[in-house]
Amino acid sequence: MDQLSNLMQGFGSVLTPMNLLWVFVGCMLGTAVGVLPGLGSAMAVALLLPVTFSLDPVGAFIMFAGIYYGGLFGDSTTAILMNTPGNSTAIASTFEGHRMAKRGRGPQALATAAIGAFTGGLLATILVVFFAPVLADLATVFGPTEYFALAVVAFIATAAVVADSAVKGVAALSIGLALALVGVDGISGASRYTFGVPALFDGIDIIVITVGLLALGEVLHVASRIHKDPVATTMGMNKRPFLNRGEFREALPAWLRGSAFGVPFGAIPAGGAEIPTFLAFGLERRLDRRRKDPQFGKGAIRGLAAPESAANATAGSAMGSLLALGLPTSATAAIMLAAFQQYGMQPGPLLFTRNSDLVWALLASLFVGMFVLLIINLPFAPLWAKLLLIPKPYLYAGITVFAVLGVYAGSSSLIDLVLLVLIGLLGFVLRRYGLPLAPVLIAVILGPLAETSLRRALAVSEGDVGTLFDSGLALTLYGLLALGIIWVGVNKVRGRVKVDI
Amino acid sequence: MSTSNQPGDAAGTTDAVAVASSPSGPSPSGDAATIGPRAGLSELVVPGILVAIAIFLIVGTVNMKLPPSVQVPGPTFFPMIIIGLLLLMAVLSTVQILRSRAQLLRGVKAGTVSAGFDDVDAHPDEFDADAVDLDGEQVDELPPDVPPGREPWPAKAFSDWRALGIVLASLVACIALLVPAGWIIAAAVLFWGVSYALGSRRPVFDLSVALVMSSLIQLIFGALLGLNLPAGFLAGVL
Repeated sequence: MDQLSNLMQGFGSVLTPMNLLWVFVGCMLGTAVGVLPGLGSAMAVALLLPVTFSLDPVGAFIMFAGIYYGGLFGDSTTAILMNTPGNSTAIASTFEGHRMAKRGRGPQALATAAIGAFTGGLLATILVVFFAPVLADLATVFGPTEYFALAVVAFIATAAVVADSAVKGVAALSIGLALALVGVDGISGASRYTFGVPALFDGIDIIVITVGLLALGEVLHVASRIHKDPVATTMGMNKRPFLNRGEFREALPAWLRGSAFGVPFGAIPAGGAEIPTFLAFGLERRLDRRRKDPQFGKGAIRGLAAPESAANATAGSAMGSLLALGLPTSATAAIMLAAFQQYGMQPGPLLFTRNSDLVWALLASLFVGMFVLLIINLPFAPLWAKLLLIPKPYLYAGITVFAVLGVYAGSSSLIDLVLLVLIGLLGFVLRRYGLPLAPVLIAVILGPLAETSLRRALAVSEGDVGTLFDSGLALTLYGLLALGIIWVGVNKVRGRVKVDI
Repeated sequence: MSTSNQPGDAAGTTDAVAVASSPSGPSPSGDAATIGPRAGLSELVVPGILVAIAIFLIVGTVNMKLPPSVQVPGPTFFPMIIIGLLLLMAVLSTVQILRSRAQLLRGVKAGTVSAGFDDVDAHPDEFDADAVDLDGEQVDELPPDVPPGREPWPAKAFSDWRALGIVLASLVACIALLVPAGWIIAAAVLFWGVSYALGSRRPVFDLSVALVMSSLIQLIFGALLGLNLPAGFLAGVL
């Protein structure tokens, strides 16, 4: 049991006052951005990327992981109390969760959500501890062909499978790939698309791109419709969240089933937690119809428990996929991958051998973070909802100032600020016309890997394209991708048929 | 993805009523009457951007100075694939936009889709209409609504260009002021401008909040953490 002793060492390095502080800061920040609609963990991590310049990697990553998990804890609070999901991952929790609150069961709903998020995250993280090193071992044989396959799978899965429209997804993807091209080409040394501007030789800084797309783009988007969105109202609630034994027993199977949906989806690049939360919700609903006394529609506890645990389970296995394969499966994971690159590390098989201290400290911090999150969310969820009292103008003005601060602090370059505004405008247009942002981010971050591995593979084979399929692992990856596309296609056709009836 | 077509006419009407009474949606009949010949065409901005990026890449590729000895495939190989992808997506999305627009116009003409937009305007709370709360049938397993921040806009909605313009102007002012006037003033201008654009109407109070915030950042990040923020008028003091 190598894993256990490694994990114990990890706990040893996390349980220092300084690192515990980072866990705590991350969990608080994550819950806060989770609670606030429109703000998400991806934006929070993007705004905090500049801390990589001054913080040691362990501290930075355990803070980022806390934000990632915390965002998934916090998003259900407003979903339940206000019928407004804090994030897309809480949409499925909104239906039954808000109905529970309307029927006076708000405290139970908040408790179900918090314990569900805890269960899902915990189960997934335990699985990651045992399987990520195995996966990393498997992946040590990866060559250019396999890396290219991995990147292609990530591209197509996020662009075509998740987005409502494959055309919009692939369009977003190609914009991201184009942004990643700027700068000096690593293989040949040719300077590409810099038009002689020295500031662009290193490419467009990843901080500029992520902050521009996620933070500034969101501010511009909110500004453009600030007077148009209806205002949601919070339901008052005085009691503390709790569950009695009967309710706990009722929710338990749904928590476990939800986690079972979340774990596999976190490991594959399907753009985060939306799909598994809806699948988990749908299953609970079908099971509920067979019961003597169907609860759905009246505030079914299971209809809330399953999507909540599914969402956090994806976060757990997304961390596994990121660490073991270097494969980002959600927008937040993509930005964490960018953070690894800021430190000059490449997540993937070698990380477990080269930076094993960091990896195990990070995994241990996930467990610590989960308990911190349960403590700060379970009794205090109604308090978190008070964050909504921050006036929107100040909230977004603050985000804008921090976006400028983060970009300028990193480079002290006015050109970067101009680029920030341009990319913010791009982010606004993408949001305005419903193009997904995750493919852009994943393309920017994995684009260089895809390009170098493709060119290396082709250089070795002297231009023979067949080499890209000359590997069992690569073929397996492409096969999985094909299955995913078929599954989505079948579902879309089925959905259409259902609608027509 | 369509969410408006719930089974039965009755449900359909409730939906339409819900949309009509929501603060953001004008009445369905109004929609039908006011669809201009150019409605929905603004979406063509997306293929426009794709083509613009493709042209940028083509110009850059043609003018690229290649080092004398280049390994094959060279530095222009991958960009060419992306140029192709961009142009292909521009064509496909143009076709898609024009087709869905044609469908919309036809529907409006026939009067079948009264609103035509309520499917894109749907917000999770409309799923919770009390009328159909108890049977649970109304809840759809498919994502009924795209996530917050990704909703496609109703074709008739217009952006608040004024607010957007003020935010952009504040950003430009901040960039212009940053070096000559210093972080405290530039960031305060930015904060003040954005909060004004987003509807705050207490300029004096906002200004003090903005100055406190920018000064605190200068103190914490500049003086304590050693970030390089331009001091401006404080140049001699700090």
